[in-house]
This record gives sequence, structure tokens and C-alpha cells, in this order.
Amino acid sequence: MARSHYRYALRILTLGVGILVGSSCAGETTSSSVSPEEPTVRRPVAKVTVLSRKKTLAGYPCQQCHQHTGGEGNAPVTSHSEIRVKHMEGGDNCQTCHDADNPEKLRLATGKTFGLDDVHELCRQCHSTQVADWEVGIHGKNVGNWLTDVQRFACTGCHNPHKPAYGSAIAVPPPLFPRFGIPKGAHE
Amino acid sequence: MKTYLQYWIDMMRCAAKGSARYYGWLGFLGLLVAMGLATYLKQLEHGLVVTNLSDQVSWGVYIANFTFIVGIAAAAVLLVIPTYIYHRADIKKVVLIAELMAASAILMCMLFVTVDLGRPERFIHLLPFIGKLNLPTSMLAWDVVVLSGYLVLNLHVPGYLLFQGYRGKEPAKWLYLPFVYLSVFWAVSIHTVTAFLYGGFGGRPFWNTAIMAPRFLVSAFAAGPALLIIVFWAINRYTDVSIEGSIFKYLRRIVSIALPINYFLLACELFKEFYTDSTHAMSAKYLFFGIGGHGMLVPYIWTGLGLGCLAMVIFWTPRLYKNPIWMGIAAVFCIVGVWIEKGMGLIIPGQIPSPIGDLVEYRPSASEFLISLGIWALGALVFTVMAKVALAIQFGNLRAKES
Amino acid sequence: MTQKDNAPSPEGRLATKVEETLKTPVKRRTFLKVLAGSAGAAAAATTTGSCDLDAFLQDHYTELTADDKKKVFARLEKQAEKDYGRPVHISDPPPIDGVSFAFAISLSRCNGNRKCVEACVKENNQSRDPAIQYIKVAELDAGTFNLEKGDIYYDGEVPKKDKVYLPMQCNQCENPPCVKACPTKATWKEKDGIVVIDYDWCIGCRYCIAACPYEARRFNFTKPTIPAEDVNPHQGYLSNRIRPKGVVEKCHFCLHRTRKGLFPACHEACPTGARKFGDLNDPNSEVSAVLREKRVFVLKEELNTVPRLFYYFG
Repeated sequence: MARSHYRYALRILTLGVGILVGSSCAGETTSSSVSPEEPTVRRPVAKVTVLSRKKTLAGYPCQQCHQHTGGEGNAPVTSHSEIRVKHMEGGDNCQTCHDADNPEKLRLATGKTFGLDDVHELCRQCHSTQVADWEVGIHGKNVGNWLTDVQRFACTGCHNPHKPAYGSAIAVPPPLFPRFGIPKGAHE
Repeated sequence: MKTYLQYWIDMMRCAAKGSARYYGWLGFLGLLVAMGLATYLKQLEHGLVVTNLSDQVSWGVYIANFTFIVGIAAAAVLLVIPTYIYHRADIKKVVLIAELMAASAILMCMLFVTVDLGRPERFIHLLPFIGKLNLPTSMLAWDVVVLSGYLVLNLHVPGYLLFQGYRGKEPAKWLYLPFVYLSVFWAVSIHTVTAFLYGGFGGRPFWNTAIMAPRFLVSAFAAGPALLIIVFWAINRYTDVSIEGSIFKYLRRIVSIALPINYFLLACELFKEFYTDSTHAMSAKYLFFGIGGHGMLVPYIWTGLGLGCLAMVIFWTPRLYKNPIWMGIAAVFCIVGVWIEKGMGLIIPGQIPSPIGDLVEYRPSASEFLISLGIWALGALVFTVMAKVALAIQFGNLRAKES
Repeated sequence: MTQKDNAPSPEGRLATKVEETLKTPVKRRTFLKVLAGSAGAAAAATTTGSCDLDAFLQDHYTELTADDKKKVFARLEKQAEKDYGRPVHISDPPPIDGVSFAFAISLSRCNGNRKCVEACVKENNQSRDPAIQYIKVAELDAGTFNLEKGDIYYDGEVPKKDKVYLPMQCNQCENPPCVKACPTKATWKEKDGIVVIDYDWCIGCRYCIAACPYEARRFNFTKPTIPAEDVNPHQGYLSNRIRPKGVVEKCHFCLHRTRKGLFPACHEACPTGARKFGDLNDPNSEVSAVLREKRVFVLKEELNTVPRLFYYFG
């Protein structure tokens, strides 16, 4: 009597093991890190344009006030004298960055001049790391269309060139503190 | 076929007839079920916002109850093995009651999961072919499979045996024995899969431990027989069926071994937490000591452990456990202790702190309490009715009439 | 109970009658059964808020045909207009071939201003009450990366002295525990790397929330509340359409925007340029540049989830 029970048990066990083995599928393959795969479709490289600064400056073009763009000019003295420079402390000389002969141009220490839209060339003199990062998109901000038409803010699009350091901001209010939340200051 | 219909009609008549105490018990349970149902309808209307769950603690008392009750369901195997493999004649008389208790427990488990779902009407998405059951990867999908299978097993075996008993016929071995043997392994699997639900995630270090499945099984083998002790005591007291003392002795022995192993495993877990003292120990610290003065679970876990240890002491002391009142007290203490330690004391701390370090506590809302109570009452009601009928067939004279 | 004679007992007569009924032609019975069954299903569906048999029987997103989608979107648009008082348009942009999205966040640049959180809420039609926010920014002391010491509820002027701000959102992991966990395959990983959710398939079990090590997912405990004027009408089926009650949602890299070449809302809103987004397969993208030139790290790397959200200093 007892032996027939064991035979039953053995049959069920074999069946059970068979089902378990049969149903255990191979696990999914997982990559050890996210890495670029070979793209199946070659897309045209996204165009990158730097957002123009000239178009956003209130005082541009300089001819609005300066009759001549050379020498002393005849602009009212007050219009730029409010600018307080908090950049390169001790370097209050406007001509360090601005071309004395042409207010529409910026100048490098070497004397080379270029337009306001290429301000990163100026910043590169001291902040070459940041500008190098900016050129590939690591520093700064891109807007527009990542697929076709990326627009990049120029350095002075975010940083006030006369006072580039970011100040503080008031944060957007936090999420509602949960009903049963424990305040963090309360524990070690 | 005709006999089968007659069988159902006779069973329902048997279930509908009883003493005043029986009606009182069913009425009381029915009232709790009605309250639970009414509250659940509110939850269906408004959503789970009627609970105190949050994104940080998104599983609460429903899942805690589910976890505990799956253990109760698994414990039926402790009577199945001596009956069908070791042929203990005394336990054979009550094994069907245990299997019916397992079936009621699975029903409660399924209900607890259902009331926890945000979209319960979409349960059809869990069905094979109609839905998309994520096998073999999702542990929850496996849980659905094993719980359904266990329910079928624990309805079929007693159902068949009782039907044959009703007809006065000898049951055919091939129609129940294979399922009995299957249910032995299946019982272990339901609680292992439930443990794997928690144990599989690296983001939950309090749960992510290999010891989870053994802890679950051992605590099930403590709480399950304790509940059976109470059930058999009630049968002894309130029906004219007498349960032999040897059955109580057997159950007590199991609990007296399972409880200490359970606390040993807990001690191992706590050693790992507190000795290593990594940042992951925050969950255990919250459970046992609270954080910064906040610790909703602290009085409960210590009470639960205390009750469990008291139960252990009683179950070891012959002078105490030979007295049925002490045995009953110990059984209650054991059940409450395990419920606290394995239910709320496991589910909630696993979510505190949240994976990104947020600290949010939880305690059940009134709605959750009423719905949970309603489901417990429904399980008790279903079990009472099924047990009454089963006892009437096994020991009474509920038989097919000669026509 | 004894039998007086051989006449069948009342129970026996009932049994016979039931058996006879079972054998009768079923037309009327079937009709009534179906009616009762439908009424039951309708009652259940009504109480859960979806008064629609079509919604109940809707297939999984991956099995919808183009026609199905048209019908589904039309129904959802109508429902959204009715519920939230603004006409909306639901799109379904497919993943772009060969694109593999990633996000990089500079912890040197982030100052904790939470503009990203605000923009995300506006763009993605998240419930205002109860408030859902996909992005959480933790304020950490300098010198620690222990998230358990971080504070998500900081307020006021930022950045505070000696603090680092760590924005967190769904990492769209390569090895996502949430996708493993979901019992109904309601969440899955798309070709371009984004882990998406079919809100009409999710059963709201919240197992994915238990599984996620980054607390990226949010549950709709009740029907979302959004004032009509705040509804963003440009919606995607798998992204920012207004979710029903009882389902899970999370950051989806604004796929209704990014699959059309736009930047995610959080990226656009960041005033300090801390966020970098793009296609990993494009060596000219800003995110490829970050991965190439900066030392990046991810959160909880030991869990082997392989995130697509990288952090760097610089």
C-alpha cells in the first residue's frame, strides 16, 4: 500500500522537475554599461549655431550714440559709466576687453579684434577649459532641436561679462511635506 | 450529475442550519464583511487616496496582511504530510479542515491583493492568453500562478474527498493523491515565491536578503499550527466533534520548534544589520528604535517580539501548555507576534527610508482598517461554513439519500 | 430525516428541476446571463471610473493596430476634454531609428532652483492635487553622497553654502528592475532607451514602485486634478497624456518632444545649463561629449541597473 504512494510521489516529482526545467528560460542578456551602438541610420550632423548677442544688446549698434566709432567719440559720458566691473578684480580698464577704436569690437591681449558674437574667443584667454567644454556642449546651454538645429547660447548669453559670477536664486517651493514625513534635521 | 447538484443543495442546507451561536457568529462576521464592503466601494470611487499610503510607503496594511496569510495557507502542508505520507490516522481525520483553512486563506490573500490594486477591474491583464502575464521574470506573476494553483488544489482535494464521503464511496486514489503530493511542494512554493517578491530587489536592502524565504516559511510553520490549535479548540468546544489530544500535541510540537528557529533567524538578520552598521541599517533602526523621536512601529514590534517569546516559553513548559487555556493564550500570542513581525514589521520598514533617502512613516487609515477587517471576517465566514459542512460529512450524517 | 415513501424529496425535486433547466434551449437564459454579467462588469467598471467597455477590452499598446490607436486616441481625447475642460491632441511618435537617449547633469552647475521640476509638472500634465513631481532635487552636504542624509524639502535661497544639489528622476535603466517586476508587462523599454508605461494596461499594483531603487515612479492615488488653463494639450499616448486614477507614471524623457527633435522640458527650463541631453550614438551630441571628456558617475551603480542618467562635475 505504502509503496504505491511512493510511486505516485515519484511520478509527480519527475513531472514537476520536468516542468520547472522546461519553463526556466534563459535570462535576458544585459549590457554592463550603456555604450553607443553602431547607428543603423546615418543622420546628417545637427547644425550648431551660436545665438547672436548683437541682436539682443540694447546699445547695439554703437552708431546710435557714437557718431564716430574711433577715438574719443562724442557719446554722452553717462551711458557706460554706470557699469561696475566685477571681473578680474583690479582690471578696471575697459580697454582690456573692448577695442578703444571701435566699441563694436572686442580685443584680445594680442591686439586681435573681432565682433561681439565671437565673445568666446575673448573668454578663452583665461577660461580656456570652460570654452573648450562649451564648444562641445558640455558647458553652457543648448536650445532648439537636438536632431537638426542646435542653438547654443554665447558666453554672454548667460554670463554678464562685467559681473559673470552667478548669484543666488530663490528656489521653486519644495514638494509638500508628507503627512507622515520625518524632518531630516531630526536625526543624527 | 444529479447527485452532485443534490450534494450542493444539501451542503447549503447544512450551512444554513445551525445553533443560535452559529447564527450569531455568522451574523457578526457578516456585519464586518458588510462594513468592509461599503468602505471598499468608497475606495473604488475615490481611489487609494482613502488609505494612508504614499509614494514612499506604497505598500501598507493590505500587503502586510497578504504576506501573513500566505503563510497560514502554506501551513496546511504540516497536516498533509503526516496524513498522506506517514499515514497518521488521528491527523487524517482533521486534514481536510486544514486544507479548507488553506483555501480560505488563499481567498483572503487574493482579496487583499485585489483591494490593494489601483485598477482592480484590470485583473484580466493578469490572465494568460487574455492578458500579458510577465512570466518568468516577474515574481508577482509567479505569485498569481502559484496562489491560483494552490487554491485549486485545496478546493479539489477536500471537495473530491468530501463528495465521495457524502456518497459513501471510496475515493479513487489517482483523483486525489497526485494532487496531495503536488500540494506539499506547492505549499512550500507559495511562500517561497512570496518571499522572493521582496527579496529580489537591490533597491530595498532591508528585504534584499537570502534569509527572507526561510524566515517566511518558518514563521508560517509557527503561526499556521497556532491558528489550527485555536480552530480545533473551537471545534472541540462548539461542535459535537471531538479532536484528539494527539493532534494538539503534534501542533504544539511544531510550534515549539518553529518559534525558536524563527527568532534565531530574526536574530541573524538583526546581527547583520546592527553589527555591519551600514547606512542600510536605517530601516532596522527605524523599526526598533525610531528615528529622531519618530517611530510608529516601535511599540508594536517590541510587543510582538515579547508576545512571541512568551508564546515560546509557554509552548516549552509542560505545566503550562497542558492547560488548554494557556495553550490557547500561547497560540494567540504566537499569531499576533508573528503577524506584527512578518506583516507590518517587515513591509513598512522596508520602505523607510525611501530609496532616495526620504523618511515617511505610515499607519493604516480607518478605511484600510475596516476593509482589512472585512476581508478577515469574510475568510472566517467562508471557513466556518466550509468546516461545518466538512465536519457534517466526515463525522455527521450528511449523506446522499437513497432515491 | 426519514423518507415516508418513495416519492422524491423536495430537494430531489429541486435537483431534477435544475437538471432539466440545464438541458433546455439556452437562448433566453444566455441573454439574461449575459445581461447580468455585463451589468455586473459595468457596475464594477463604473465604480472604478471607467464607464467604457472599449476601455475595458483595450489591448496592450504593443498590440494595437494603427486603426485601434486612432480609435483609442479619439476616445481618450474626448474623455480628457470632458474631464479637464480643454481640447487636447494625443500623438504617438515612434522611436527614431538608431537613437539612444541619455541625460547628463552637471552637479557643479545645478544650484537647486527647481525650475526643472516646475517645467516638468507643467509640460507633463501632472496632478496638482495631490501633487505629483517626477523630479526630486536632493540637497546634500558637501563631502557626502549618502542619499539618506539628503533633504528634498529645502527651501528659500539657493545655493546654500557647502551644499550640493542632486536632481533625480527616472534613469531609464538598461537593466530596469521595474520592467522585471511588472506582472502585466505594462512597462517596458523602448528602442531608444526610454522605459515607458501603458497607462491603460497598468493594474496599479505598485510592484514597480517597490522595485525602483531611485524612487522614480509615482502613483495616482486618486484622479489627477489639473486646472483647465494649465493643461498642456500637446500630449503623447505613452508620455504626458493625463493619466487615469490608479496607475503609475514617471519621467519619460518627454518623448512626445524628444522623439520629434525637441529638448525635454526640464532641459529647456534649467537656467544654469546643468542638464545635457541627446543621442549617445551621435558623437557630436552634448551628452556624448560629456561621457567622453568628463568623469561621470551614476547612482547606485553596484545594483547594476545601468542607468542612462549620468552625473558629472564640471
